[in-house]
Amino acid sequence: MSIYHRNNIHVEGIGTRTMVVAHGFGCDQNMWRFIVPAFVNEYRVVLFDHVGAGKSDATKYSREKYDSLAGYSDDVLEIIDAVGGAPVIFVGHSVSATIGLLAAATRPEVFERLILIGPSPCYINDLDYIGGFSKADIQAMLATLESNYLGWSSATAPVIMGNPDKPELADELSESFCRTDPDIAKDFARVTFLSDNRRDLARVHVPSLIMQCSEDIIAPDCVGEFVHDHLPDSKLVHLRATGHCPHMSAPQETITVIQQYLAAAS
Amino acid sequence: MSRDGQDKPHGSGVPDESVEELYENAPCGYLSTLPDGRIIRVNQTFVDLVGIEREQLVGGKRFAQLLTIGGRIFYETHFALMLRMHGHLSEIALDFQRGDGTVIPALITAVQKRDSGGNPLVNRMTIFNATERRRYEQELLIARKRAEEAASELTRVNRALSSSNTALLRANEDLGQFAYAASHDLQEPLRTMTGYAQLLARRYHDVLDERAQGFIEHILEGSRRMQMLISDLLAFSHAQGAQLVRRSTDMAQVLAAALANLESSIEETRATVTHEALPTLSVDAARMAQLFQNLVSNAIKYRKLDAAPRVHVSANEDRDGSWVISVQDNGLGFDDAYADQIFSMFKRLHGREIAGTGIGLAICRKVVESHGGKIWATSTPGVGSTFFFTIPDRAEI
Repeated sequence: MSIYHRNNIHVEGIGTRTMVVAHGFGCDQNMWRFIVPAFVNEYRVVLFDHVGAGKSDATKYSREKYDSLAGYSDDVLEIIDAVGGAPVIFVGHSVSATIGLLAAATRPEVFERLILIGPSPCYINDLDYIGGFSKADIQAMLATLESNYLGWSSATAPVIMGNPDKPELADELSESFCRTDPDIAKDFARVTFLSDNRRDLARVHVPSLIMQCSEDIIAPDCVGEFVHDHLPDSKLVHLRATGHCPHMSAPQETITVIQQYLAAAS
Repeated sequence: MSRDGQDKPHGSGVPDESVEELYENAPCGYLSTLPDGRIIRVNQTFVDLVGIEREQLVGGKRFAQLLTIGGRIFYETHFALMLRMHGHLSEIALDFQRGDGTVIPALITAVQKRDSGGNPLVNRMTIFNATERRRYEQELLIARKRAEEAASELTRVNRALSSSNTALLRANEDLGQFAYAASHDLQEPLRTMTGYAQLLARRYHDVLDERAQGFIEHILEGSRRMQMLISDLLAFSHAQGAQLVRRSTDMAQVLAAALANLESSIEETRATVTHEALPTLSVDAARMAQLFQNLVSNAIKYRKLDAAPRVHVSANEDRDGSWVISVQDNGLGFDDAYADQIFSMFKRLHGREIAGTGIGLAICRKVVESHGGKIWATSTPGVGSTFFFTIPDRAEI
């Protein structure tokens, strides 16, 4: 049960198949709020927070374990074992797409499908590979993080406020969303943006869907193409949604694309 | 500039404060975007802040495109998500990339306007130039990092210091024990050697010729010297070993005890030892007696051949309340150049013509230093020497 507590696992839905959704850097399981209701009738949807994010148990954080994405992918495998229902549909956003890929390379039998939203195996440009960023860009981002983690910014301590437009979303969300331990977040940013998992793509043989957003500076088009080219049994879909978080900015399109892929697969 | 002349109350003396004027020239930048980040409206203050034409800004540019790359990542991974979830964000630190390529730090507060179904309609932001504030923040960050580094360095140094201190104490202790054990254990075989040499001299007196007897005398002389060295070494290791037993002590009585031990040599050399009023101090009486004994016996030992030794002990209270005690003689004296060296172990200025081990003054230094004081000497060859030592005020009763 400690894994439930460690990763703040929540299970929703009445379906028979299991869908695990994994949030990316900078947020927590609340980011799936606009997506989850569309799947609860057909799936058991498993939500969790990475250690250090949301309402996870930050005391379980250790620099040794989480100094590479492997530490997070081990957690994902433990979560799947804990909730049961394998093989699962795994939906990973951003860095969690890579975390899912690493987990699937280790234990393919627990995954039925991978749905990768805005995946990037390597954010830093390297020779003729375009990841989108230089090392200096990543350093600048870390400095921006630091400025916003000083304490007075709402980035770390979100104001508790009512939401007059959608009261059912209100307080609980506002309170916890993006509440991240600043030191862990800085580590996570480093591990996320400085990792290079390009070679791991070929090790993954679980069928997968790559959801590529428009005008996504975190994971540009060419990165989606690269993943598609190097990931066996992958399908690439371009979304009209712009930015890096289509499940938040364009939930309907995101839901439709996932549903169509899963329908075609079964 | 005046975009709204109609609203201006003419001739009333009240300045133009129409809504439009206020929006355009407010003391902060205003900016509105669609939920996907496309800019739909900006005010003049913001145009001036970023130095990019209004037409360019509202002609399809996205908010994130105005930011530095680091800022864009933060926008995509935090800002946009939180605005969507909370509907509100405040005091976010991001940098704008200005039209001329320079970077301007800003503080941004944003709200999201939504329709009745909760769907986002428009994001509104106020932008403050935060150049000075950011510089100050950076200094704070750097200062904090330095302080953290300094603190951890201090911890490291302290740990190293305390461990070498422990090692040093242990080494010192070991050395003291070694000196004690060695000198103690050396006495036994020395006694055996001396005893048999004496037996040899006595029982075979008739058999041995004069040369052989002379050799035995040399052996016995060497043994006596060695016995002296060993007992001084024992005294020295004792001086630095055991804990001080400090009691309120009349220094005149201590001096008297020391002189009683030296009675025979005082008589033999017809030495006179005088003293002024001496204080009562918190000291280890036995060690102080040893100190006086060593100093007075030195004064007698290094006497001039043509004059009876005169030794005078005096005491003066220093300005800081500590006492300076001096032992003055009319002896051979020595070159002041050696004034520091004489307190080192085995350091001797005189040859074998005067018996000595070179340990006596080293013991004196140990005794004084263990009381927290200092010892030194001044001297004029052919006139005499004065030895001074201090006992700090905290030792006084």
